[in-house]
Parts: sequence; C-alpha cells; structure tokens
Amino acid sequence: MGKVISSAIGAAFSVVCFSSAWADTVALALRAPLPSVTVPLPSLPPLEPVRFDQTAASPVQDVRPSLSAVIAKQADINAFGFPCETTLKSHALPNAMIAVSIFAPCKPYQTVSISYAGLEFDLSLSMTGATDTVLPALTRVTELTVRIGPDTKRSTRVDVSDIDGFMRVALEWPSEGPPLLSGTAPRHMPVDRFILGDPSGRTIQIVSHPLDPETQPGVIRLQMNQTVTAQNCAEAQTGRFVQMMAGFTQQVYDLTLAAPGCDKIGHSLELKNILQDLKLASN
Amino acid sequence: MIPFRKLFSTVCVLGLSCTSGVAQDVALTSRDGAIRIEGDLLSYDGEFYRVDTVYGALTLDGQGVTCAGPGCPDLDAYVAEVTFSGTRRMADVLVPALIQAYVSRNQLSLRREVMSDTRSTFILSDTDRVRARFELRGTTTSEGFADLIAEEADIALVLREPNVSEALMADSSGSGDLVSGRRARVVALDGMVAVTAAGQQVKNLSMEQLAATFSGDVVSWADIGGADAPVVLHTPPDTAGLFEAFEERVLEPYSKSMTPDAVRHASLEELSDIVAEDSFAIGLTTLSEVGNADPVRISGSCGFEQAPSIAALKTEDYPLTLPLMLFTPARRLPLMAREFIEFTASPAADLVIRRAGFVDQAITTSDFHTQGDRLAHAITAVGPEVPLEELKRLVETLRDRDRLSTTFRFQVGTRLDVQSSENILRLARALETGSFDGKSLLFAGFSDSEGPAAPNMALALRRARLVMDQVREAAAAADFDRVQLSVDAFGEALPMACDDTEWGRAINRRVEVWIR
Repeated sequence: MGKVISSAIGAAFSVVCFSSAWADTVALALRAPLPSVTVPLPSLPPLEPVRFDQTAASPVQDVRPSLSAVIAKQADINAFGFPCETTLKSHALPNAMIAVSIFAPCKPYQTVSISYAGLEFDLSLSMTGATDTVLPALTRVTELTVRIGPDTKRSTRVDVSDIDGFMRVALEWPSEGPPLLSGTAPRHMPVDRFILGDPSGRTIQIVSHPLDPETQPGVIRLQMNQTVTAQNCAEAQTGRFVQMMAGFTQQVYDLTLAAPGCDKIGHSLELKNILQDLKLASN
Repeated sequence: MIPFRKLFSTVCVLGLSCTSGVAQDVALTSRDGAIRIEGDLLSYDGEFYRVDTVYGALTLDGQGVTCAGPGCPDLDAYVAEVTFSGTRRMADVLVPALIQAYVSRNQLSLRREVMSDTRSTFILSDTDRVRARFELRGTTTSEGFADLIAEEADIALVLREPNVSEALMADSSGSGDLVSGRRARVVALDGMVAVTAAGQQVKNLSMEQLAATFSGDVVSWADIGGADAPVVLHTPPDTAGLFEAFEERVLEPYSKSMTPDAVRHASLEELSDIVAEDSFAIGLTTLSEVGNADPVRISGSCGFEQAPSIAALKTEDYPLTLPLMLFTPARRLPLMAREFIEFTASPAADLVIRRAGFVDQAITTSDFHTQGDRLAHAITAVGPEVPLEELKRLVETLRDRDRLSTTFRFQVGTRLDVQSSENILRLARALETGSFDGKSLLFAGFSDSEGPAAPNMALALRRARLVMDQVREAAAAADFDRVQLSVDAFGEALPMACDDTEWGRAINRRVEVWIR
C-alpha cells in the first residue's frame, strides 16, 4: 500500500509538471475524508480603523551617515581599528589614591602631561596610545588635566574622601635627574615614596605618611640629594614643592637649586635643611 | 632720620659748601630746587635715600627730593634687598616658614633659590615683577651680630642680646648703637632641653645633675639614677648660641664648663636622631628639635618638676626658655622688611610658629582648677612665713579667675627679661584691640622665699604695680573705662619651683595676670 501511494505521488508530481487537471485528480485521491462536525468560527473584536495624523507626521529623516562622514570616521581610527577619540577616566582608590586611565589611540608613543594640585608630570603613551597610572592625591577635590601635544586636552574631577588621613609632600622637577626626595622616619611611622612620570621628563616625587590617630608622635626627616651631572652642573633648575596635611595645602613654592658647577660632576649634594620636616605632635 | 631742610640749614650755617666739586654718585635736589646735596648712594629702600656725604651718612625722604646722577635708583624697579643672618635655630625652619606665610598673606608668589643647605634667597614677586629678595644665611648668633655690625646683614637672627664686646664693636665701627632702643623682637620661644632615647629610664634631672652630666663629671648613668652604663654626650658646636646659653645658664652657676669629650653636631636634627637610637646617649638640643628623642624634665629637691611643654615655655615656668629674636640695626630697613617684622607678631604668624614646632606668644588662658599641683605645693609650704589665712585669701581671690599665659619675670631687681618685655607689648596690643573689654585683669605679684615674708610681699606688690604701669603706658590707645586693671600680691605663697637654687628663685619671682 505504502509502495503504491509513494509511486502514485511520484507519478502525480511528474504529471503536475505537465497538466493541472491531472494534479487536481491526484490531490483528491490523496485527501483524507473531512469530519462531519461543524466548528463555529471564533468571533474577533471589531477592528479599530487606523488613522494617520497628518499634522504630527515628521518628515522622514535619513539616519544613515553621510558618505563623507563615513569616510572621515574611517580615516579617524588607528591601526588597530580604534576610533581616535582621546578619553580620560579616573576614580578614587583607597588610601587617598587616584586611578587614571588615558587612551589616545591615534597618538601612540606621544608624551602626555598630567597636571593636578598645581603640579605636572610627563608619561609616554604605549604603542596603542594607552597609559594607566595611580597618583597619590594632594587635594580633596582633585582637578586632573591631561595634555597631549598642543591641541588635545581632557579634564576630569575626582573627590578623594579619605585624604584627611594623610600628610604628603611633593616635589615636581622639570627635567631628568631631579634631586632625590626622601623621608626617613622612626620604625613606628610608615612612609611611602612615589615617583610619577618617566625618568627622562618632568617628574613628581611624593613622600606620604598616614595620619593614624593611633600613631605615636614623631618626626619624618625630609631631605634632597642631588647627584651633579653634566646635565645639571651648569644651569640652575627650578622645581616646585607642595606640602599637604589632611587635604589642606600648607606650603607651595618654587624651589631653585643653584648650579653646582661642572667641576663637581659626580659629587652628591645633600640638602637636609631646605624642606621642613614633617612633625607629628601628640594629641 | 634727619629732616632735610633742617639738616641743610645746619650745614650751610656752619659755612660748609653745600655742593662738592668732586663728581659724586647722586645729587638730590629738593622739590623747589633750593637745596642740593651730593654723595654716594648707600641704599634706597623704596622710600628713603641713604647717602654717604661729606657730612656723614644721611637719610633723606625720597618724596621730598629728585635724584640725578648715575647712582640714582630706578624708582619703579625698586626691589627690597634684605639679608637675614644668624642662628640656624631660626634660619633652618622658623624664618622660611614665616616668609612663606607672609608671602601667601600678601598674595605674593615665592621662589626659593637654594645656594647650599644653610644659604637661600627667597624671591617675592607680585603679578608684575619681583618686589623683594630676602637672603637667608644660617650661621650662629655671634655671626649674626657680626654680620649686622659689618652691615652685611639687615636683620640678625639671635638667641640672646648682644654682649659687651659686640656692643662696643658696633659702636666703634659706626654701625650704630646695638643696646639702646627696642632692637630685639622676640618672634617665638624655644627651650633648651636635654634629650635621651625613649628607652632611657632616667626621665628627670635636677639642674645640678644636668650641669654635672654635661661638664663630664658624671661618667655613668648610675651616678644620676640610671643603669650602670657610660654616659655618651652629644652637644652642638661651641660656637652655637644654644651652647653659649647652656653654659651661661646651667653650667656657670655651678662653676662648670662643657666637657670637650662630647660629640659635637652642627645639625641638631642629626644630634636628636643619633640620641634617639642610642639608649645611653644624652644630648643638648632645643624643644623644636627634639625629633624622635625624649626630653628630660627638670626636677627640684622639693619635689617640683618642670617638663619642657608649650604651656610651660610660654609662661616661662620652665627654667630654660630660649627666646628666638629678630635683632634690627639702628638704621632704617626697607618697607617690606618692616612689614615682615610686623607680620611676625600677628595672630596669623602665631599659627605658623606653632606648626613649625616652636612656641608662639599668643595669649592663652588656663583656669584655676589646672593649678592643682601648685596649690598642693603651696599647702605643704604653709608655715609661719605663709599662714593658712594668706593661702585662703589667695584661693578666694583667684578661684573664679583664669590665668593668662602672659607672665612677667625679672632679670635682676625690677628689670624685666626680654621675653617679658615682649609680653608687655603683646598684652598692651590686646588691650588696645579690645580683647579684654568688660573684663577685670589682676596683676598678681609673687616672690621667692629668701628673707622674711613682709619685705618679699612688698617687693611682689611693687613688681606687680610696675608691670601694670608699663602695660598701661604701652597701651596708649586702649580705653581703660572698658577694662579694669588692679594689682595684688601673695609673696611666697604659690611657688612654681624650689627656692633652694638661683634658677628656682628666679622662676618664683614673677607677676602673673589673672582675668575674670
């Protein structure tokens, strides 16, 4: 039986191609008998007539970018396919630190100047135009500005809520080989030291001490040591010094170190008295 | 300053030529052209010319004259040049901190040019140009005076007033009188302290033990109540003002001098750091430079003990206070230098002084209840000289009053010491600005217990009256209808220190001020 039907279907199909009359006959032969019950049709709700409000209709806008924009955009991506837009992101971290991410995909290897709290340092962007860094905050509300070349500038603002728990000093130096800033303290006083920036450019050195209410009184000695080199022996150099206590700037001034003379190349100058020591009094 | 016209008429009447044929540096002519004087310009301070003429050095008001000649200063480009020289106790931290505060208060900007660890120039600028250059040389008190006498410094940073030889030298060099006039301005207070490592068990020494220790008589800590271990001494160099002051006030009264065996340190920071690390070391330093070492208290045989605290230095209850002074010459300083000196006595400067680790002279109060220790000593001292009734009177008089930090002490007889002289002005200024309006100030005189009680009482009252009169005189602009001043005396009733030593008696001879 199955064999008869399948051959019949095969025959029917081959015939359909030639005659519609034959097709009707075959189809009827294959149709199952219908049940004899009648099922009422479901009643549908009446259709609301659709009206077009002519007045509200806005002209059709072409949302596709213009061809020139597409070309421009394609031109404004870097070799890795990232659009050239420079972005600056920052957020506060514990211990009054600030995380900074800079992404300038079309400016690989360029120097970026990062300024905050009246100080500035330089970093180099990577091959992909990115750099990430972490800064010790020097003000409660920190305005951060980055500059890449003469045209690109981005700014952001970070609120550092736990800055009142720290005392910090910072020394910005404009060139290679800054006087090394160091803080020596007794064992019970933890001191952290940070260096921001690439050694070949403008740097900021920071000495930081947490103001823990449990901390015993004591003094952190601040000093600068400068190694006399061929680069710094002949000309006086000017840096900038900032002292911050619990979010308040206590001192800020420019600091010029006189030229030591090129006969002193290789010597080290120890400056112990120039910077005021950090004194933590007992409460 | 000599008035121009008066000077001129004087020299002309004497028949001297008013102009000289020799080519001179500058020629100053009065506005009406009637008077002309020539000479070499010594200085111009933005207001006054100082000219070396054939009649000697003259100071002339710049507003009254016009200047001609190659030596004339550019009036619009005047930069005040001021040199500070003297003790590193002030040059290292205090003066730089004060300059920075002065700069920010006057909306100037600052650049510090560092020549070496002890030599810097502070360049003060406004938005237009450089206004002043303050050169700072950290040396010693003696060198500060020497520089002042040689006119190589405009302001000396000193820990003491000039000694006889310095005053004579100033006189003979023609740089002016160093003694008369009010040349010393106490900017802040510090204290001479002996320091040990935190672990050292000896925490207090009598003045005699201190003298014996630093003279080298004490070789083992066991001699002064400690472990049997050798004492290692650390001191500043013998040229330092601190060294001189310690010899004068601690060693000389016991006819001793500093041992040559002590380790000498040019830097007190270094001294404190080394002592802090060595349990058997003892060092001589200042309260501001205690660093991480522990200061030793000074004890007396009768049980009194004085710790070198801020409060005890301010009231001079600690015997070894060290006033830090700006000493000015008998010549006019540039306006900015005078403004800076004025600033150092302001409330804004007081804050900077405290932050820098020194003791300011701002007037503070402590209430009667904090005097418990002194009252306890007073009770034990009750006897025929101080009857109980007298002590009761003292308590009744003072119990509803507060003690001002301003205390007056005397060098000899009724001559006030330098810190107390500054206190007269401080109190007078506070009266003039109305800080004590509606209050009653009681000047309470006290004496030591040497000799019979009645003359001591009379002397105490005389000292109290003297101080009150001086304050009244200094506060010319005060409205004395608004504030009540009175005197009282309690003789030897409330000692601050033991009377068996000269320094103890000096501490006890005082005038306190109690306010209600």
